[in-house]
Amino acid sequence: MGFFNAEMAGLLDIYQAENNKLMSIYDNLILAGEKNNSFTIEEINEIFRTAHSIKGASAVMGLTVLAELTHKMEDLFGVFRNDPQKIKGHVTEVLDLFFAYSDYVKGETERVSEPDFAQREVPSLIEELQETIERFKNQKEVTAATTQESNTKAQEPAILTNDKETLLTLHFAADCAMPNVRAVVILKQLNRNWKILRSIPEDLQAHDSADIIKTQGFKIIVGVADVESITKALANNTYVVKIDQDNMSVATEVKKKTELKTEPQPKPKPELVADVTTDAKPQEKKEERFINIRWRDVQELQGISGEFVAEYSFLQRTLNQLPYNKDLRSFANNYRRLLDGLTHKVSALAMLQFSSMAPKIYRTVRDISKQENKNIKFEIVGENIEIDRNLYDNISNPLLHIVRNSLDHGIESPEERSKAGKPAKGKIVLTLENQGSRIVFRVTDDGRGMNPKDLLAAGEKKGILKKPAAEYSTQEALNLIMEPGFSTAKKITAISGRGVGMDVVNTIAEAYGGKVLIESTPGKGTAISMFMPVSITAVDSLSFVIGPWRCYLPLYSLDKVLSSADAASRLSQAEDGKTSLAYGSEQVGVIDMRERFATAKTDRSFYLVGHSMEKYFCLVVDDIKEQVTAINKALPACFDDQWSQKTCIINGVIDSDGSIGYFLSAGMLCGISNGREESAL
Amino acid sequence: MNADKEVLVFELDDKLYAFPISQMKEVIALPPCNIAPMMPPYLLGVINYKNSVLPVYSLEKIFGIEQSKKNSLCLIVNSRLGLLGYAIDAVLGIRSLEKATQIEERVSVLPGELRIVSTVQLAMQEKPVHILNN
Repeated sequence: MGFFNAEMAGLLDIYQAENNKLMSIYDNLILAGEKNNSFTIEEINEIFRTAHSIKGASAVMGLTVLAELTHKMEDLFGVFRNDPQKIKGHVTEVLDLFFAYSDYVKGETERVSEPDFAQREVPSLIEELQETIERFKNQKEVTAATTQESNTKAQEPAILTNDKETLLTLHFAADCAMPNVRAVVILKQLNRNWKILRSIPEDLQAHDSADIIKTQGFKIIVGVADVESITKALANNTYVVKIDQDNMSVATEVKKKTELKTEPQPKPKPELVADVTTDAKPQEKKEERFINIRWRDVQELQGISGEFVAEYSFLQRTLNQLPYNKDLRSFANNYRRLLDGLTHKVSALAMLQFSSMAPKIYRTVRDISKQENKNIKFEIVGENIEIDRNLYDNISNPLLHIVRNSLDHGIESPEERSKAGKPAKGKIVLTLENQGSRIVFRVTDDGRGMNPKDLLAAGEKKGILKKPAAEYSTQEALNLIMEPGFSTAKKITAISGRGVGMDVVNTIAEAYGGKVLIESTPGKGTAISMFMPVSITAVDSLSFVIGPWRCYLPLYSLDKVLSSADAASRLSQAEDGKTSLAYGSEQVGVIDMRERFATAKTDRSFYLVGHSMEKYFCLVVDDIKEQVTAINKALPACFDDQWSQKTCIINGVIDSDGSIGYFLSAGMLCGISNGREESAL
Repeated sequence: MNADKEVLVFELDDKLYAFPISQMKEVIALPPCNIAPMMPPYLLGVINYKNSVLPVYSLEKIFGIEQSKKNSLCLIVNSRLGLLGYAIDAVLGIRSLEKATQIEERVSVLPGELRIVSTVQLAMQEKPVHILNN
């Protein structure tokens, strides 16, 4: 049995869904706080409530570390709730802590469903939170002491008067090198068996800690009951030459320390690194009521409603064969009407507002700007647009990659920008636009842009150019960044140099019937757009026949259909036997799909000319059928990538009569048409 | 009765085979199979199963024997590759493994990630049964 018992394991997905929702609210609130460098009382209350919910659920699940950490978080926001002035102007000091908390919660939430889950301990984070709570708690006492009762001794906090504690001062041998390191080791050893309440100096990595230990000794505060056993244990330590025990001085020692800590924070207010605009306004609560639904339930519902549609067409066919019956006809019509309503609602269930993805993107921008020391203003326009959940799941990584690219390669350093006469703060905008059947995701930056000449030079070096560099159009040169293995980055950074590249972005877009457009002006900036179908399962397509198979291509990737008679005069054969078709000013490589599918050729043939990424392709098929909305269905795993490369098929399609057709990829056809024969085969 | 201890036994080319009941989803009448372009050699084709595309494996092709013309049923099996179907002629019945004697433990891996995990005898005088797993 794993970490959770059977009952708890059954609740895991609800717990995860709930936590993710809460953390998305939390992240939005923190980002808003970062932007304003303060929190409103409503925001503090909302964060407090969020933490409270997480704590409750985590405690029920037996996630003690998460619950404890969240409890501390609640305490901290409790301090702010009592006096909102305290956080004002101090947000940047604690932001990293807030985000570290968010990362921990999200990380644990994701991990709980792993079979060998075990809680990750975060003592340093809990300690840091505790310190922060005390710091902000004490802040008031300082202000109170200085403003109201000047020179009056501030009341000692309760912890100092606790007579159950003892101060032990460990004196190290004079020739002992790196006493602070020894202190760390001692602390570690003692912590195994006893509870060490505090050490002075507390930060043993601080540059002056070794000197303090050398001159004043290493002080630890322990429970009175433990003194004897600890002293005994330390007697064996070769570096510790003397141990002082002092009950009385605890108060003074610690008080000194507290005074140090409560000194007004001299930190200058650092300018925000990333300025993110977010629409999150927690106070605007909608009165609508919501429930959570499991995604797989929605998928099943989609499947069932699809089956109903198939049943209906069977009913319709049967009715057509029967003598006319008024009652049956009206029944069939009513059935159809209800069915339309059902399928419409079910597809609406699968729609999600893009805004729920926003915190993740804002957060990425913030972290990278900080890491790369870049000053960025980032905004998302149109985040309330609803998108298909299937698309939602697949678009976030490509979008994040494009945004990372802009941050990493697009936006210049502040110095470079001021030299170019640009505002120091770079700007990146993610725009969502609904264009009817398509949604456009566009990432625009005002960075250095891309120079086609540089791209071509890099392409030449990598040996990925298909023709002499001089023959490349600007668009073709820009599209080079989507070629596998292309990267003009002079250094591989931790950000853009990992995982998905622009070629993967392009592949993902095409796999879902979308495409990528790159626009760039050197010195001015770059815009990368992903045009994606609103519903990635239903695509307006042309159906045609290859051998015994019915196949589909999206209408927007098709340019022209030619009969064999019309095509004859345009065809030419190269020396290597490859046929090409003259289309406009271009020679387009012809792919005979009958050969690809290893099926016999018929007398009839049609030539389809289409495009992808500004390149043309031409395929020969047996017959053209009709224009339909093809519902894409994933193909089983036994049809692997290699098969897909060979056949250019990316999805299955279930026809209205229940038979199975095949959805082709314009991108893959284009690759073959342009001589990029798959290397793996 | 433990579901892991029960198997669905069927005959193929005069030999007996079985899938654990725990892996079975259902048995349906074999619908018309659609051949896919350049499909893997062990496939009989694909079918429309509850509005999704399901591959139907041919055990004859997997074992390299002559394709039966009497395939009339389709076993829907939960596998590591997701749901998939096996075309068979007839089901002999559901049998318990509790009193079975193991004849051979050797695991053989067949095309399409199908495995024979063991060969058992369910009762005296009966033909050995090859237990399949996918």
